[in-house]
Amino acid sequence: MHPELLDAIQRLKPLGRWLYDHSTETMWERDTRTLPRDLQRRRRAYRRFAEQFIAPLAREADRDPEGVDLGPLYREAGRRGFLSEAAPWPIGTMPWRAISGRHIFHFALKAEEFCAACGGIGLALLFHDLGMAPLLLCGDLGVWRRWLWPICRANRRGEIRLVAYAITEPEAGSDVEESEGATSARFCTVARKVRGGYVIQGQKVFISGGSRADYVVVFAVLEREDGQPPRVDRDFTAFIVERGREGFRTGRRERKLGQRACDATQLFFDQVFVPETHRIGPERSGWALNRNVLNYSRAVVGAIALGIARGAVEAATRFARETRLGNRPLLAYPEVQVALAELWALTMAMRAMVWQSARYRRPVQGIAAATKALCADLGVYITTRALDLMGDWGYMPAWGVEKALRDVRLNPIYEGTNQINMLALVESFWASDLAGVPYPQIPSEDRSFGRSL
Amino acid sequence: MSVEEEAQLLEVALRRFLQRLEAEDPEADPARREALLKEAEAIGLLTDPDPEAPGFATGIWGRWVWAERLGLSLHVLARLGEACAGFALALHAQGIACAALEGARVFPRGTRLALGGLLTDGISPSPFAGEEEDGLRLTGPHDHLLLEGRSWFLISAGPPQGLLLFARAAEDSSWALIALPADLPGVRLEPLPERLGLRGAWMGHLHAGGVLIAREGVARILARGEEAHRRLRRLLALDWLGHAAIALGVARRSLDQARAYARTRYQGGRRIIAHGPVRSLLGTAAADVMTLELLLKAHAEQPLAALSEDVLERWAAIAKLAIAEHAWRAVSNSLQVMGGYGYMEDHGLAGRLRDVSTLRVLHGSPDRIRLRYAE
Repeated sequence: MHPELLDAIQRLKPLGRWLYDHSTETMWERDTRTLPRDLQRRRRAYRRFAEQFIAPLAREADRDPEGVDLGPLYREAGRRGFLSEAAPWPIGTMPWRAISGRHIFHFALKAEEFCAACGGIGLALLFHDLGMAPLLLCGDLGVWRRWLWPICRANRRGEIRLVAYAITEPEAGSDVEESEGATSARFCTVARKVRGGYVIQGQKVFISGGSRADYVVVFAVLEREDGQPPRVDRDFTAFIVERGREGFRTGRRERKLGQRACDATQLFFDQVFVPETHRIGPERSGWALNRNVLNYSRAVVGAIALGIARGAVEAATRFARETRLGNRPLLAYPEVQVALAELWALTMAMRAMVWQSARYRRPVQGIAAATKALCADLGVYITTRALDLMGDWGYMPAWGVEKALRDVRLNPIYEGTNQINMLALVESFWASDLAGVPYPQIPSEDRSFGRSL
Repeated sequence: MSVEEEAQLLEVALRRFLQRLEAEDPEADPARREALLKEAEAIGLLTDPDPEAPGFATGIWGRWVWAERLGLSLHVLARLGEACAGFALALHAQGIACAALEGARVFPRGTRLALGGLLTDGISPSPFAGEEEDGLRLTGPHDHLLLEGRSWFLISAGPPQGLLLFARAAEDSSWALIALPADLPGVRLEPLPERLGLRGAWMGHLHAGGVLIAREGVARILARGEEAHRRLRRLLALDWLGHAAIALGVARRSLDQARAYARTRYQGGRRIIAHGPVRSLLGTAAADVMTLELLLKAHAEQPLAALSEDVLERWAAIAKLAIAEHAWRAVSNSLQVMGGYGYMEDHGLAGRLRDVSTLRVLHGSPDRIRLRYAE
């Protein structure tokens, strides 16, 4: 701080001095102090873990994702309680206070800190929370007892059990994340009711953690008793399938542009029998369950973009401090300061939006979707601008900014493309702020066109 | 045969070559890249420093461009960029280095060249500037000059055999253009195989320590003072124009691929090209591609020799900035249309995004370029 300004502050009355913030704490620390105690503790714990265990692996896990063993990282995360936050103590590690409405906040803080160190490893740890979400949100005590609690307990002991979430199919991605699309989605994973359970047949693609997970929560359309073709919006049903069950196998691991430390894998279900105890929630309730999972997870996806963007801004700032141009550090140039300041400001705006979205006791579809889409776009903007500021050094892997750009480019795509999320925002408003306005219908000829093929 | 007739023949050869380039991935296998370079050399796409070689005139930034029109090379680079941006950059780098010679017979036929020392005046910041004077310096008396220092991000069609370097004289900071073999004592090349994109070209840093430049030796000065500075400005402009042309090719192919996908993929019972948000993405990408095309046409009909350094440099700077503004957005929007498939490396768009992201900052950050051309 400028010495003259410090002198002027000292001349203020005591109360005036107290009202003037002249702390030299980092912005991260100040933001943390605005949170309730339990969240402050968690944010610091997530950051320590990210710096100590994730950051050192980041570059190698990106370069050679299959050559880096993430097992010890999972075990450490499990022991620290980061893989059992779907349930409160003593079964899981979510504080009881958070159950009343702050649990998304925990996941959002975790996503930012982990992904600031590495988007790919961050996702490799976070996909499990998405997989656990339907087990929690189905609201079925039987499911909690059979699946949720044992998985949480095992993870706390360091005996890692991971759960993946499988929706996307080769011919149906966005369809199942949007109301209009769901009515005519070409969904190929079908469940048939048989004595004692169900038989699942179909295929999933791009499943995060699919090759590593011990369980997969898979969504299928349940065959109808009236002989009508099953539809996503009417017949979607969720099942949990363990690795090793007959007929269930993993296929190709995709070569992704970024977030490479977390696999995206094909899953095949070839006449897989699962008992009734493996159904998550009532039959044909999957459409609502999937939507609610997305409502819960989209703010967290916004936080993933925030974390990756923050990592890129921190790297660009480090570069501007260490790099000299014309015998001055880059950071000494006002144009560089202004460019970096824009990126810092946008990162703050992203955090404000994520935190506001996470404050809702139950997530609001429109707000969650807006958070996901806006943060994804801003994340891409911020990382490309960080790359710009570094010139040729930006595309070299040493600084991590090119990786951040590759990583964050996934955010406008997964959990529903940004365009689908914008439609979800409008749909949400149609029920509230736009109430009374007739909901637009797709022309019937368009519907028949798709169906006739 | 007239130039137009020759250009038509080259176009036919280019089409055949592009089919082969599409079929083989030169980024995956150095042996295939070398075979493709040989073929490019045979049909006259790869510029040659030897005035008797076919590529001397017809190659990228070859004599044709000086005497006929710039558009000849811009067109070829855009077409190559559609197929493989890294390979296009390799041919572009050889062309730029040959252009630096301006017809002087220095290197034998088939020499792979790299041009260094272009990143001057803070066009790209250096983490090492300030520790010692950045860039390449010439010290010592006229008949016994020593070359020292570093040059960043040299590009070549393969490990370079010959170097063309811009250096400043220590005594008066005047420019000199130096030609030297890459295996001269004191020259060390540091390859940079790991980078975001454009992996079809060779890239590396040059470290020079006490390299002797003699008046009649293998290493010699081609131009000094104003003449060297004029060449530097011209070559930097050609470098940026080449990047913009390659980026145009990358953007054009990305858009084609996204359109084809959107015509065949269904969502909600309709082809996705029928959905408003998808149409908006494709429309924006199409407008971006056309903007870059028009920009590159600005002086494309003129020969290089007819353009002043000022006009050339301004045009090139705007074209270079348009990579970040237009080409990058076109590729990113195309990727968005393809969703998860676009993000997977096997479908091409991911690689194109890596390439165009590299092109947006290659040999000049947009921010520094804007500042430089503020006046």
